[in-house]
Amino acid sequence: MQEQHKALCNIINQFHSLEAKLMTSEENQSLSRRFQRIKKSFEELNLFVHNPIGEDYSETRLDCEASISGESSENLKIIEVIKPLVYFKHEGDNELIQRALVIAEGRAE
Amino acid sequence: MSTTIDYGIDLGTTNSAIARYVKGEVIVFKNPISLKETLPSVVAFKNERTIVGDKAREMLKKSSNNVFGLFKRKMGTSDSYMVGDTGNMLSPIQLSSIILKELKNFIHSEGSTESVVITIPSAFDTVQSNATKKAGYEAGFKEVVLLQEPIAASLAYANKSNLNITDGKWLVYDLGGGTFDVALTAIDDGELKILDHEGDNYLGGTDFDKAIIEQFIIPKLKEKGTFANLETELKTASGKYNRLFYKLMFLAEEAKKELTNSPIAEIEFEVTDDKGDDLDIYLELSKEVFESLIQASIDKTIQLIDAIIERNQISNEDLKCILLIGGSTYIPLVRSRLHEKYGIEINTSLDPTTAVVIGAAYYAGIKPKAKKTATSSATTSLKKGNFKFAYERVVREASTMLLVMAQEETEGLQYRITRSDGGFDSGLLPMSKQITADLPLIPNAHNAFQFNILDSVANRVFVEEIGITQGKFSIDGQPLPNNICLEVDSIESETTFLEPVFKKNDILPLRKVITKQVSKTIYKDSNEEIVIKVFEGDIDSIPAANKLIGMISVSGSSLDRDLIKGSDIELTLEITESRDLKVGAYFTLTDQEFENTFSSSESSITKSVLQTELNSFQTNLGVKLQQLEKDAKYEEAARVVAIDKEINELKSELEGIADDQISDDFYVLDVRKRELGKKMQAVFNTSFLTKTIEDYYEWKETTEFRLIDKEATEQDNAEFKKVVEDEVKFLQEGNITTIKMKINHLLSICRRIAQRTPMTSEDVMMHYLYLKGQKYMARSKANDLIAKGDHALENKNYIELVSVIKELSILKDKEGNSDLFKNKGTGLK
Repeated sequence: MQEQHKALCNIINQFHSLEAKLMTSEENQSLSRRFQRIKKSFEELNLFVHNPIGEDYSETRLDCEASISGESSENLKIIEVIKPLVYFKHEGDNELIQRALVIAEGRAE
Repeated sequence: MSTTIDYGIDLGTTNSAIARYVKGEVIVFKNPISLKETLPSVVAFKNERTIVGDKAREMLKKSSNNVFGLFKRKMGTSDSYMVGDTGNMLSPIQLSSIILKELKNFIHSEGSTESVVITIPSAFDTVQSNATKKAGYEAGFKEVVLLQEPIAASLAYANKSNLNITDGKWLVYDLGGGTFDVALTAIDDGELKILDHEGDNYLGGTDFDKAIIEQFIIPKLKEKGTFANLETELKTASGKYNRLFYKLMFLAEEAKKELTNSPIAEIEFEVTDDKGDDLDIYLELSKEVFESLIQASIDKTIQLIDAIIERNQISNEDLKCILLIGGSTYIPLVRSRLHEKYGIEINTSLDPTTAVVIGAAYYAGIKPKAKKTATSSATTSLKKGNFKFAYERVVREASTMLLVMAQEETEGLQYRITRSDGGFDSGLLPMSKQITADLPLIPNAHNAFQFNILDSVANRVFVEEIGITQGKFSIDGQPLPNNICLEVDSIESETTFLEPVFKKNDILPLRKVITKQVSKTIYKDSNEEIVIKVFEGDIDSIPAANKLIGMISVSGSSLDRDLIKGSDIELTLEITESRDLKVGAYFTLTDQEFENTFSSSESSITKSVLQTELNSFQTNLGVKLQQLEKDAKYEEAARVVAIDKEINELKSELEGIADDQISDDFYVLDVRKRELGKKMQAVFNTSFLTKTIEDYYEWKETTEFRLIDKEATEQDNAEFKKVVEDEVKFLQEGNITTIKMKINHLLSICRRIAQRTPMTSEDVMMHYLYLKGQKYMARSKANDLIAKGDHALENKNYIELVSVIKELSILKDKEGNSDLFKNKGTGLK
């Protein structure tokens, strides 16, 4: 199962990077529906993909591995997601099978 | 109770690990939260919180006053570290003891945790060694035994290979993330010892990643775009490319790993240069180029080995092998350069990241304890009743507050809260009489937390399991009183049926996206239509027996192009808490979107709607009755008559109500209408199955007759046998789809035999001539083919004739059963 999850996470990571690259362009907005459908297919495999972009980051968040850029390490926000976080749901439990790889940036208040 | 030392610990400069020898096997414990076998040797302090490992390392570069790593280098010195936020002074021993306590947390096996083997570098002197021992005692271990790292690695090697080494020398080459060590190791009369060692505390894998960025990526970036002060802008915290720098560190590390088993690694990223141009950067880093970047560093390690060899006056031949440990020894250049230079065995049989801790555990497993200690006597349990927990068990927010009240002394205790999926760790915090904590929650899931209290030496003295459900149920969320279903076509039964979208008791608001297929081709500008009907009610009944709560119909006149059978329709259904239904339909093929919102208050049952529906019921029943009487199925026919009678009664009652009457009467009659719909469905289902089984027997007989024909092959006979072999089973099961598939198979066998028979082809062509393309939508194309077939028939050109028949048959298959539904159907399947 672990090997299978690893392979699926690799696909999810490629998908994530494709989505991130294409969705920056206004022209490609119509593709978002396709991306949602692929995500739904992942969900049918009990894999829940979450992109934490824009969310708060702190050292208690173990679902992300962060590099902290910028001058401040206070009030951290996730500004870039290199790999999304992936949960595997089985028998009502959530298992974190991939931590998100993110870049967080601090903003001094 | 074990008589040997309990655990082995690799207390590393950059990473640490803990393992145990159990019945001949070594178990390396994993961090219960991150599930990694290693723990970064980094400690951070934030307010009152102590953070150890990965999360502390993340903060290393940003909060240098409060985050401490590499303190192993200072073991045995009087240097101490001041925590910026609190002004507290911490010694390297205290920081090391925090790492050791955290490693204790990895242990999941039962038994004593009082004795330990801790590894130290071969370069450690007595003071440094004693400092390491002290850290072990401060972490709560009663007995601490030290072991040199190269010896630990050698033990792991010897045990893995089942070697019985009696004498000889070898090198242990340890190239890690940030440090390099090499030790000349020997065994003399069964005693393992370190003869000499060398090292560089600033040489390791991270330097290779930096070399990729500085010597490969940055020059390429400068070629492709306009950048002033690129290095500074990347590396300084205020630099505009600082964010990119961290991404490049990740990409460089990935590329380095890729090059261990591939000749080329791809590096791809986007950047906007100083002129504002967006650049899509794609670089290929070859193994040769990478090796040229790290060549000097590898050469430096070789110089250090040479120094050892020269100092000890030994030759290469005196060495049995070079044992590789440390993650950076995966790099092929390391292996090839060492082999080239020394011409001896380069041993890579160990996992380079855990070799030292495995060796430490082997040593612990054979080293008797110096003194006997009572099992787990240090662990004192706190009384459950002395701690009160308050939290909401069901919440809709993204996080919730936990309140803990202690009714006993908390001095010197710490607490820690973790979430079972591994997504949250509060870190170590001082326990007090009253604490509050904000717990982040996974949406729409049950979140299991563990609240632990630890004593001063990290023994767990109290555990409380906390379960919180997010989003599922709440006093604010209303349950859905009935199923919400979508009406779709059933090709098998030539009717429509309901497919569930949301189930009864699902909590509002709800949203779902489902993909369906178009069941019939809708031509642009035609009057054909796709009807999306959403019903509320019983899934097992026919649509008419339920309440229609929303409908979108899209006719050919609204389409930008033909909507081909089988293409996708993406339906989005949303129900708000106030029960507004929003239905959206997106046609993938035409790239068109239609949507409508229906408010539950708009539901209207009028006299005319009810009359129309009841009339429609009677029309269907009339057709069914004729068919049943024709087939002499009098029992079923009687049931149809009874239902028809009830419909007539209902219609009379309906007549008695004024058109504009505002009362519940229409709703009462609507409920009765739906009950009648259910009864109707039962009759239709039974008779359709009977008809399908009859069809099967008819086609079976026809096929048997065809198989007598000389044109029938052995394959046809074999296929027939296969179709009918489990006949009893599939007919008893009564699955209409399966039986239809069997019929289709028989039909295709008959067709095949027929196509091989010239006389039959003539018959078939005569049939087509008779029909004149009426059964085809593409009538003109069909008529062209029929004319061609007529010509072939006249000239007795059977090859041409068979070809034309085949083309006509394919054309019909492509068009599908567009006239399948006697009623219109929804156009969805």
